Amino acid sequence: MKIKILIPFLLFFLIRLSGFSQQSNVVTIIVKDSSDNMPLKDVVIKIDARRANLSTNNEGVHSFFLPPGEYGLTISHFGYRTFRQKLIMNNSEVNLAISLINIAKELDEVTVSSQSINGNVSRPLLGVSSLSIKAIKKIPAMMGETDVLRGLQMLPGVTSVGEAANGVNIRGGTTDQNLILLDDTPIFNPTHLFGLFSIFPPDAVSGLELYKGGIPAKFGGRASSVIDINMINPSLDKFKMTGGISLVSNRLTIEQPIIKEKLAIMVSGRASFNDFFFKLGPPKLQNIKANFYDLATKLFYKMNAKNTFTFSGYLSKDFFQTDLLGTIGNVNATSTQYDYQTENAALKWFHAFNSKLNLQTTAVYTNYQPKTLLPELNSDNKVSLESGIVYNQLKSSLNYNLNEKHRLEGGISTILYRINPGILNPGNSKSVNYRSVPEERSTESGIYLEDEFTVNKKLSLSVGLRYSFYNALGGTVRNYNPLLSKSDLSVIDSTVYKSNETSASYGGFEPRIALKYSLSELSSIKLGYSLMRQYLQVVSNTTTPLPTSRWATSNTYIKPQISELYSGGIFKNSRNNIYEFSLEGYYRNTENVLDFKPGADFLFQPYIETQTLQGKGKAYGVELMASKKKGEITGWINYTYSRALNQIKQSGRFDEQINGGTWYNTNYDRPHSFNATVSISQGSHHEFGFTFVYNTGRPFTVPEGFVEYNNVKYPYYVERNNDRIKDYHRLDFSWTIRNPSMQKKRWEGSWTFAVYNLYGRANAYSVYLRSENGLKAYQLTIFGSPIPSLTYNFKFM
Amino acid sequence: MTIKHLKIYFFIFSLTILFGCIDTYDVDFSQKNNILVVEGFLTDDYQNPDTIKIQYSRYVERSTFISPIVSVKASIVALGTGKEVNLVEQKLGGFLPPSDFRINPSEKYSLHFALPNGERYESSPEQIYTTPPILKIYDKFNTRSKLSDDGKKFLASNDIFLDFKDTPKQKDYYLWRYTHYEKIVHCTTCFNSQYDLKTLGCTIKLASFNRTPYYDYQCAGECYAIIKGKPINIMSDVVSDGDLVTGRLIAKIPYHYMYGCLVEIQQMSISPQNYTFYRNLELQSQSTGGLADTPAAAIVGNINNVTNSADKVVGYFGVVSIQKKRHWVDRKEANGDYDYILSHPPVDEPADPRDTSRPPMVKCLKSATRTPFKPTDWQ
Repeated sequence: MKIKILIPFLLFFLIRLSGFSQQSNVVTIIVKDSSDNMPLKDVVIKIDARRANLSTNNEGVHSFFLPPGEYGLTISHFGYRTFRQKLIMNNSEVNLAISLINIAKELDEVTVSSQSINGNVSRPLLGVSSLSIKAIKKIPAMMGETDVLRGLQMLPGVTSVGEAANGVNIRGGTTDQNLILLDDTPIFNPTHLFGLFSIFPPDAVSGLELYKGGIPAKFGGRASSVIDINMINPSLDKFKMTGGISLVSNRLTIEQPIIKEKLAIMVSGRASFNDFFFKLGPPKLQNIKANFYDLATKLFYKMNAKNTFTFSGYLSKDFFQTDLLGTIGNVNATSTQYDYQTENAALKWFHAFNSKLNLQTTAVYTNYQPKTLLPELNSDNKVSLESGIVYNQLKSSLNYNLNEKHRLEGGISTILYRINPGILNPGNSKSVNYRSVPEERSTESGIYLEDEFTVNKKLSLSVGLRYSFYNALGGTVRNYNPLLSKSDLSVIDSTVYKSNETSASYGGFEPRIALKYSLSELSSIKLGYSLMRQYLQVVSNTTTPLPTSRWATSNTYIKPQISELYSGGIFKNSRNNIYEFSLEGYYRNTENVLDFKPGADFLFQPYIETQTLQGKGKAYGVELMASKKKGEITGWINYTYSRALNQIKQSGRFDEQINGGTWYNTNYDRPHSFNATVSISQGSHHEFGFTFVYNTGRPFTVPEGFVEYNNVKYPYYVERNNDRIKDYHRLDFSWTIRNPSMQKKRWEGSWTFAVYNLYGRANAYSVYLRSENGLKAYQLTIFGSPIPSLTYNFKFM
Repeated sequence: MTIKHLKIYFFIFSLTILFGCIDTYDVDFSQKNNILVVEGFLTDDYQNPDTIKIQYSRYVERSTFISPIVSVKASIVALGTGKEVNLVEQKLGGFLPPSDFRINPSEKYSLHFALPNGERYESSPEQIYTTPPILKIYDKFNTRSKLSDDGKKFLASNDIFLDFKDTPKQKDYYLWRYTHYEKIVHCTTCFNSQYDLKTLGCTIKLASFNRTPYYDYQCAGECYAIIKGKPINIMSDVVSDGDLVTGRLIAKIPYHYMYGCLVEIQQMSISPQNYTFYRNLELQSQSTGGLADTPAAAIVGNINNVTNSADKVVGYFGVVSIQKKRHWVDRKEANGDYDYILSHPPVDEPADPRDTSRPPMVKCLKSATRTPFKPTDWQ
């Protein structure tokens, strides 16, 4: 929209008042409601953005004179989407019939609550948020990469340890306590390039649902939350193409019907091959290679009205190389290459028996393979360190809408885990041996039933019960002297189990209960309780897990994590569902949280119980959220007060305790968190986005002092996480210009200019001490300056 | 997986060069007490035994202080025979085994000591492990060996490597130490002052300087700096059991002078407990600064207070066999800028024709860091 600012407002009035009367320059505007075609009175009309005291009469009509020229016409009315148009007067009569869109009746611009309209108030769902890809794309993107995980962090109760964190922390949980599903397939490493970008291709994703409170009984296996990300279904009737080019990556998504209304495919690819930028940097960066790609596909087959089949596939790969550091162990390598890959596939069959009963059966396969390659000096040989996790799942669920009062869902699921903790493949090296840690195999099964029961108009319940059972298969189980810490030196004897023999088993009920009581049509209170069991965890003693971190299932000594969450909330919507408000509180206690002995080393360690510790965790918080879902200005703000603490006291021995067995702040304990996202739509061509984020600084450990040892100063630590780095805050901005040509074409392009960290706040990622050149404390900042980016996006319909 | 983390530290470091930054950070420390620090190996190098130190370390106003403890009774107890050998107290909290003491390879030893306040301490049992010999030491001049303090340029050094054959079919943990001998030209630097031959110190105050606020004074006669390697260098044979280990990087000897220098390397097989202690030290002081740091924890070794289990002692006691070898670094390939041993380009005090006693030469005094005697194998 071209806004002409040189036409003086006063001139317009003078001309009008002087009786400048030329019928050919009369503008007549009729304004109606788009939904019922009824005339709208008192609609405000502005010329060139100046209020001209013009408004429509009872018939929704207003006529006025304008001298020849170009004008910006704005028509606005409370509760309606503002209309803007360029107006050209060239001695002719202009009649405009304008239908204003009633905001209350349009689809949500930004969905950040329960999916259905008023669903956040009317259904017994607690701690559930939906985030549409439309909403995620409105959030200013770092380096132009639309990022699902960064979008998620704008929701209350979701934080991370920093800008390069490999995952998010939800309601005081660790990153591995979130079950991240992409079209039913689990994601073990959600980021590219060590945490900088999330792996979900934005054009292939339709949105996500975050379950951080009342987790449906169909989900299991994680102690904290479920992040259910769905890919778009391919269009069955027409070809579509979308894509984009940014500083970091290039994207292309195609939807192609193969048999119209029957069979269609979606393919979405994203690739980053812009690491030539490193060659433009300082000499020490010139040999760095850092690239990634991901490929998502979905094939949808509608066999008939009762049967559909969906195949979802996802492939992701990262490669990073540097030649400036040492090596693993004593491999004399010229560089280090990280190569990690995710392969996911799911085949789903949906069968509707009738309008009330349907069955969904899904087979899932995931293979995550992190690899470290070490090209040897003076040789073509590469030593490789390989690990991986193979996940096979078969699940089936039956949905039955018994009557208006009962919606039932029941199902079964079984998972086979095969974990390769580490294989060192020396190639033809003479200095390195082949080495492997035996594969860990286990099964996890679940059976559940859930009923969403509407007791009466005011009261409804969601009652679910899941029973999960777990078996660790095969392996060698050691017996340790109970008077000593578990180590190689305290082994009494050991038992070897055959590959399909159960070496350890766990199980138990997982009740999930939520209650909703309506205070009015637009407000309700809810209470909930849920219990979750987790048998698979990442084994990493670092601030954030690395892509190469090891995963491990429960065994004789690593007990499953059991989390109980109590939550409650008040929910209120405005009358037209434009505004939503919520206040939620929660308290979680978790048994058997995992921590690690000082100096723990998992490399080729088959008995990880010698390196791990288990204890208790507790987390609590209050989350306030307000969102505006429709209109020219949309967005949300939220504030969260939360705490997350652990207590590790496995025994009375010093090396089996953390902080002497007292409660301590977790790495991701950030008490105050405030997020604001605002999107301002100026007509159909311009959109502005702002986000502001504030978090209390995360804990870090300050030494009590120093000791001199071997003539070198070393920090002397007493308490873990006894201080905090400085608070984090950041403002981002984006400006999207859609369809700059303003012409209706099948090809429509848009440009997005964004600035991440607009005021250049040097937020600390970590504070640490180093001793080589005299002991000094340093602050590491990941993005210490504003980062502008320009992205071109297109769609072809 | 510490070493893997190192690469990722670098990756993040690389990114922060592009987009981020590393700044110094002011941290408040509140050390309340003296901390008991024990360090020492009982070695089979009977000619040059390690001094076992039992001291207090204090940190006051940004400085650390070592306080010897008087009247400590320390002994080595052979756990198999129960025989106790008293250690001989040296100055500054140091102890040595008697000159006729010999380690029995099949025996386990424990360090016992009692402080004047009545607290008694014991180490965990430690046994000697066979250390394989160093087969070969070699060096390579590397212009991009390490980054300068400010991270803006590379500094050159001679990287020292060694080869050895790991003992097969046993878990081995290695620790390397090195001592670097450098023939130095200047023995003292006086900042904002001149050297006074009467006081043997920088006591002649000066208000103005021509170029730099210091003068460097040459040594009277030969003088050699004794520089102990500071970085912790440890290795587990987890990937190389029984193999010929080649190209293990031991030291980076800075390009101080155009002429050569001498390096003595000690190779030791240490116990798993000693390895864990050193690994914790290394994790918390050298392998930090990345995306995924390991949480800090008290660096407590294998010394326990038997009268008060809550008392935490920093340090370790170990029994080790030392294999050592010397290597002459000829620096024939060296080129480029010097990495000044004084941390600045040397500036001699200008000669004064009216006072021929100036600039004075400074005597090379024998100390733990300096000697006027040519080291063995110096070329």
